[in-house]
Amino acid sequence: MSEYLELLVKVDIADVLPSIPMISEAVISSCFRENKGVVKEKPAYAISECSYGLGHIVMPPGSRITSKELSKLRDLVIMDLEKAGFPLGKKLLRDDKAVWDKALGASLFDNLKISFGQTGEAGVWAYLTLFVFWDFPTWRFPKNEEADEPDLFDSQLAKKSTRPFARSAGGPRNVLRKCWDRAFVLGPDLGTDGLAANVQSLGEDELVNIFERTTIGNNRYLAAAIVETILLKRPLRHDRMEVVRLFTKVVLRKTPTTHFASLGRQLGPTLSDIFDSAIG
Amino acid sequence: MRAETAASYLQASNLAISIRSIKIAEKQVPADLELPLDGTSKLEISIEIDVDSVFDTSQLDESSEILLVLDAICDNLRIRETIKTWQILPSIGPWSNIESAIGLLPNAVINNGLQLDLTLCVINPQPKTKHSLACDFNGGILARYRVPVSVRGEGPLLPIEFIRFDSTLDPIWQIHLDLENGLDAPSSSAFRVYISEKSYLADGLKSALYSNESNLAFSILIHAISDDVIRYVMFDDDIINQLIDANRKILTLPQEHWSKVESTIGYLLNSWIQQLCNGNELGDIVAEYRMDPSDQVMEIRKRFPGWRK
Repeated sequence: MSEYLELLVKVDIADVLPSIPMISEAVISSCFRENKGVVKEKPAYAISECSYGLGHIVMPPGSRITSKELSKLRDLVIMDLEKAGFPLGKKLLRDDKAVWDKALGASLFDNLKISFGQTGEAGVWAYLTLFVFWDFPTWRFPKNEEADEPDLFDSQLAKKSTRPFARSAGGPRNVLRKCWDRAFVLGPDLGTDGLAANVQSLGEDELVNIFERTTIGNNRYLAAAIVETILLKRPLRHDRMEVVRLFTKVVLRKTPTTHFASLGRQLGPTLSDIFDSAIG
Repeated sequence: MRAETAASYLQASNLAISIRSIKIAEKQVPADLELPLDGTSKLEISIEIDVDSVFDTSQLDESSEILLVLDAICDNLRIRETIKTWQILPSIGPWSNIESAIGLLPNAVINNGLQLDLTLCVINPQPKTKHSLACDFNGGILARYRVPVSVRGEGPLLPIEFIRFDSTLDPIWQIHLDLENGLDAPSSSAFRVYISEKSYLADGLKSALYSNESNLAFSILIHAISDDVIRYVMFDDDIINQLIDANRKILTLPQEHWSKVESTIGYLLNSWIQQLCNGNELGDIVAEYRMDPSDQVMEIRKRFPGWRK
């Protein structure tokens, strides 16, 4: 039986957390059009200590997180990012981004008390992004770096996932959700805990190779084992990207015929063999 | 001859696995499950495996270790987890799990689209004969059986009764929604839906679950009920005022207040109004307004002036 079974089936009803408000796609589009996807100052619709913000906000019934707690959450996350070397608004260099993502994921994982049922709600992540962490999408993805993408703020266009809109909308590419998901699946250290100090955690493109393949990314047991195998075999980041891509593709191709979770202690050695035969 | 570039081996027949029963929250699946988002529900499953058939068709020796793995898959919540593993030992006659109770599943997993995945796989495979095409790698999947769990339907909150209406109105289809007074009234008795027993709607609702006829009939019923509920709210200023007042004070209200108790009609009205305005056409109309029933009701009244009291 998987150790994650504890997480899956033993939810104490007494531990049910207060709900986080949600917004609909219409509100996201409206906010996004208002500022063209670039937010550097607090928008009029954002939360304050005594208001959930302005707009059609859906309040889930039952107990609810207060706007004061949401403001405090923002402060805690900003404080953690500052400790990691990123004072609010500091321009992120190319190498900074993976570190920023990791620090944000770890901080959200520690500080955001989100109920299990709400982790998959796009409206919740959109509310948190636009109303609580309003400047984070622009901080992480400044518009000028994605200038080659046309009409970045028009939600009606095709290729939704390639536009910064996707960083604010609540899907898997949302700026907060992406980092929280990774911390949730791999742990706040992104799988480096317990490994040698010189091991470099996976970079953005490497993580995308795992998390944007649903069969792998949603299987915490397998994803964690894949990351561990990669970090043991290729601890340093240079020249690792192509290796990760190839390895994850080979593992993915084996999932229809191999039940990896059933392997127990043999999972690590099995993945190691697959890595060696695929990469050489 | 075994292909070298792809997995090539003999699997077992899917017929080797048979599911005797699956119960969630003590209701047989497939069934209408109406579960609150938080909390957990008991999962029970009874399975039977034709072990002889598994070894025969896969050409594996009985010394191979066969596992039956039960996974829960809910991609919306990033869940692909193993819930339970049984070791299937060679035996005379079929194998079945003695204890059907598996454990508790979070309702969030069920409500977000659960798929139960039963997989027969082999560890330390030993072929029956030297040159057989038996699986030769650990974790090889011999058979897979998938059970989607649906949460569609009205469940126990909307008991439906088929009755003969003493009316000369159009008999093709008609419903009558019997709403009790008072927002703290229990919702299970507050919402009683009566449907003309001779109507096409009744025929559709009685047809095979998830058939086109049944889906269409339920869709019509749900829309009709939503209409009636909204009319009910809009026609009664007292109810509107009570809903507004409760929403304003929700954080300070005691836990036993009707707006926080799921089994009350007030809770249902609040949540239905919120759902109505969340992302659908009416939601877009009132998008610029804050979540407050009075704003929504005003907008709906503007939109449908004929409904004004």
